[in-house]
Amino acid sequence: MSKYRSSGFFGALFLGAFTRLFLTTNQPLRQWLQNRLEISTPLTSWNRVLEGVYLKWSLNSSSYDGDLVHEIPMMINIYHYLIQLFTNRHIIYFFILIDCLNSILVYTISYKIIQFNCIMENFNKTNGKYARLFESKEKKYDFLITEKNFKPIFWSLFAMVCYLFNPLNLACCMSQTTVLIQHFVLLIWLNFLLNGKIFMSYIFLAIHANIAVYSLVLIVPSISFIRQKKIFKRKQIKSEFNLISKHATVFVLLFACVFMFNLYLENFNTRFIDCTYLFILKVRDLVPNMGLFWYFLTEMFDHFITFFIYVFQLNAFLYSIPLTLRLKNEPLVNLLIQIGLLYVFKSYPNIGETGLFTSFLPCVAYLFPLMRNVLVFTCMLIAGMVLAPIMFYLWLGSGGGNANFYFAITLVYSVGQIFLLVDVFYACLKREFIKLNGSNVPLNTDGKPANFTLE
Amino acid sequence: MSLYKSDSDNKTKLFENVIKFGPVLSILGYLSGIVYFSLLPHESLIHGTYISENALLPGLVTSDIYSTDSIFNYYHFLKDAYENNGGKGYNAELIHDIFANKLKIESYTQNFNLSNPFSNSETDGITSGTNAYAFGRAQRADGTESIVISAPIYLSGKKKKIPNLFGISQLFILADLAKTRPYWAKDLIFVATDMEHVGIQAWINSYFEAHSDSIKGENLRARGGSIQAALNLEFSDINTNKLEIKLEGPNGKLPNLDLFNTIIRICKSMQFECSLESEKSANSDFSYYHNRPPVDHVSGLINTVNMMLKQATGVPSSLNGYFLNYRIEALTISGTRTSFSSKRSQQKQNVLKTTRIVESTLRSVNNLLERFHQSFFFYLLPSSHYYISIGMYMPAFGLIFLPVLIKILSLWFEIFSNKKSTHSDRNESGLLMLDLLKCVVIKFMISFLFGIVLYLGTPFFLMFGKKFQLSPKDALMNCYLAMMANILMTPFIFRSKFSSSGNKTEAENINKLIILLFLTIFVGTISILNFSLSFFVAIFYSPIALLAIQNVQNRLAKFFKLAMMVVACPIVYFSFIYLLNQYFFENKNFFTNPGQFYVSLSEKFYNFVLFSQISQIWTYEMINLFLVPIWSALWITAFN
Repeated sequence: MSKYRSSGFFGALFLGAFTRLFLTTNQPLRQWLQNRLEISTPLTSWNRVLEGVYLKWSLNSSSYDGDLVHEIPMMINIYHYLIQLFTNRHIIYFFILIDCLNSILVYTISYKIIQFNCIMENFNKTNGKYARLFESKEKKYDFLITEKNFKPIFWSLFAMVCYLFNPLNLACCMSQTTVLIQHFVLLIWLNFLLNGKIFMSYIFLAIHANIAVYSLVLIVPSISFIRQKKIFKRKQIKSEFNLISKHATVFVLLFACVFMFNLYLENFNTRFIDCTYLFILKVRDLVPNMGLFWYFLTEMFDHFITFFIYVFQLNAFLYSIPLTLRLKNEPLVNLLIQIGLLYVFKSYPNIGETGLFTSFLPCVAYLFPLMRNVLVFTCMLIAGMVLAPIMFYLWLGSGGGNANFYFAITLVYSVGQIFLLVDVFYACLKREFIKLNGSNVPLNTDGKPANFTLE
Repeated sequence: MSLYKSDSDNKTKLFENVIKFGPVLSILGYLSGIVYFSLLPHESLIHGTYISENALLPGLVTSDIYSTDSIFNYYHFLKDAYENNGGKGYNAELIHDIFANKLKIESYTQNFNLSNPFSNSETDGITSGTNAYAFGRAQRADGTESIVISAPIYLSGKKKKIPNLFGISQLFILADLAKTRPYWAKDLIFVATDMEHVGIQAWINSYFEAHSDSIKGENLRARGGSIQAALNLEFSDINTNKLEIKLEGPNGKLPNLDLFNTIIRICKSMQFECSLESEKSANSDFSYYHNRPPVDHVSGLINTVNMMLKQATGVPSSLNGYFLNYRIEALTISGTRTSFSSKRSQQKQNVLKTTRIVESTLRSVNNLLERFHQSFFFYLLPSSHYYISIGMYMPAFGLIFLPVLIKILSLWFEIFSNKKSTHSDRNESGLLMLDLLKCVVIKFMISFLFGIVLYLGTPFFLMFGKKFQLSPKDALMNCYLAMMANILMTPFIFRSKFSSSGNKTEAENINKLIILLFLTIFVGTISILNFSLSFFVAIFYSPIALLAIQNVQNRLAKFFKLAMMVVACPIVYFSFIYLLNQYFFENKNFFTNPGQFYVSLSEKFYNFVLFSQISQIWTYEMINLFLVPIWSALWITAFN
């Protein structure tokens, strides 16, 4: 537990909590944020949760009457108890608590990630995998990360600060979106996974996959991580197929269990399936958000919509396996990239999700010198965040603009995120190449130095 | 070439080029931006206005107003009421009475209060007034759409309030038409508002049930359909031979250009003189028979700058502006008198024409099938017949801001290439963090603290002023200047804190980069909302920011730099613009009399702050929250 005993950790946590408590006094700001579409998406809006709780416990009908509530029954039940415990006026303090817990989890997870990466590189080095790196002409002795030159305490603290003081996360906390709770579940999954408690981690991943269907694909990188860990503990892997099928089956069973539990909570009324899982997959609500779906689907002729929904949704699920195969030696970078990709291709993205995965970037800070477009995507993300409310106002407030204004900005924002992820991916591959082949620039067939491109 | 570097050789070369040609490119960009902007009203770049919405069909109807008798009847009736009893009889009650009892249309009055936003006692400084509003319901329509015709009861004059007798009389004529004619597709709503800017806001806020802190209006008792357009009539005198159109709304909003074009077309067809507010043109003999007067470059530029100055303050030029807040296209038609021919027949002709122009405009809008959505919402007008669209003026803005963007790029490259060399030394990163904390974070926290104090401070400033027996305007101005002096003193107080110990250049570069990024974000964001404001900020702060972050050794150069930074203080800069504005457009020469200028400035400043608070205009807040901190950070940086 020594890693928690730094003054920086407590200082940051205290300052973060204080900032949040201070911001709660600004009622108009909270009101404004609660009504922002970028934060209160159909899946994360707190007002919808209140509606669901009211429908179920005050009117004794189903929460899913009226197609307003899209949380799974389990979460609705939890929120009901929370509201009873805290009352609706003070629920914000619960959200602040969860946000602080999230930041602590971000700290722990980042610490683990960095530690794992250091040990893994050291392990490969002693196994002689990086022999060619040490033979190359231009030497750089600290290229391989160790706990000495890439201090886990410092960088995980940095990650935590990134989480706590990211304006996106602050906005999410102030608007009481349930995305914080989703983050909490996701972070617990990561924490258990990194600590080797695989069964527990699958339970939480199953819950998260029930809340937001897309996280189903995260099972692929987690299996890859488990495999890597096994290799590195010098355990024999008899059959890769056995390993994969075993873990996949366990996960599917757990997912089914969580689903059945939800069904039981709803007294075996299947209405909620349409309101949660299918609502996410069919993209019925086309209210603008920071994602890519709404504009295309509003502009499109109705008879094409089914086809395009299939194509768009495939995007979210498609990249998981190829990425895992390509990055099988870097399972943790793979995990981060995949979490990020999910958030880009989601049907109802929330800006807090960008806040979560960008706060993990300090864990892979050693990749930054190899990245190419840092300025480009930083500018795109800043422009997206600042201009989104303004373009929204120009379109629907003052009437000077039109839907294209807002769409252009959401496009810039999404493309910026994709640039970021691709750049992490590129830097990771380049680093792997250098590690395996040394830093000598290889020559093309025509004798000129080859270029490193992502194809 | 090394694989450890992130960039390919091509990209490195590009960056080297940026650093090499950056300064030349910056100067070239800035100058060409200014030249391009001043060439915008030139014949070869300008476009003539045109009607984009086909449904408007301006000037194609036969007027239903045949004689001036009833106009003069109403006018004299109102005039009698105004001149007897010291003007007390001329009020909303009288107008309501005429609407309800003479014209027999649905009519109501609305009471409202205005409380001073800066006074903390409940009863102090509350003034109240009464609006009258009436509905001319369209006989054959379903009442889903409507048009507003508003007229203030009194106009603000130079010395005293001027009754808007002719404007109100026109409301009655139009109400009569609305009641008797079958062709109206939209309800006509007539609003006579009290207390200039306050009454109209009270009415609109109540109509849309919007909440305002300082203006409290009674709930309205009836409503029309969705409002498509609004005309505001302001006539200080019945002897009118020229119409002036006022456009500018709050926070740089402008009405759809189609509405403006329609009125200009109609005036043309009626052969009545019509122009922008205080439009200058070289060919003073107004040619009735030309479709378009020839382009006049110099006066076009002056008119453009005049319009931009008005737009940049964010204060609406007239009452039409408040409709724009609710997406209602609105204009003010105000009558002026250029020649003093007092021939009775001529006067009658002008009265008839003016009324017909308003009627004809209403009937054009009556033709509309959908909301105004064609034509332009972002434009500048060099004259009433020509426009500059957003696609034309934005490049000028981009060119003027180019130096800052180039500087950001080269700073970024410097930082990034430095990082590669220090990559080996891990201890440096910790040191750099410490440096950043010292150099950047503290600087920005102090700068933004000043901004927040100014943003929240106005009521406290006035409270202090009361303690020291100062009038509000003096108190505000003095406190504001004191805060500025505080910012100017900051580098002396914290001198040792800001200088860093370790790798100085890196932290300094990051600091400069962040300031320039802030400036870019601020200017870029404002350019979408209020182009003129951001233009006036960019044209001055783009070179100033570069000057401030430049390291100079020469003492004379350093003195010049600091002197320029003092001029760059937002209040100094904007008062300078105000001074020039007064000199060129209002013909008031303050250069010879600085004392009078200070008095006039502090009064204007107080009124502006009060007005922004009442009417929710964010220019003042934006400058306090963002521009002052940026300037303060630049000032502290310039000192080190």
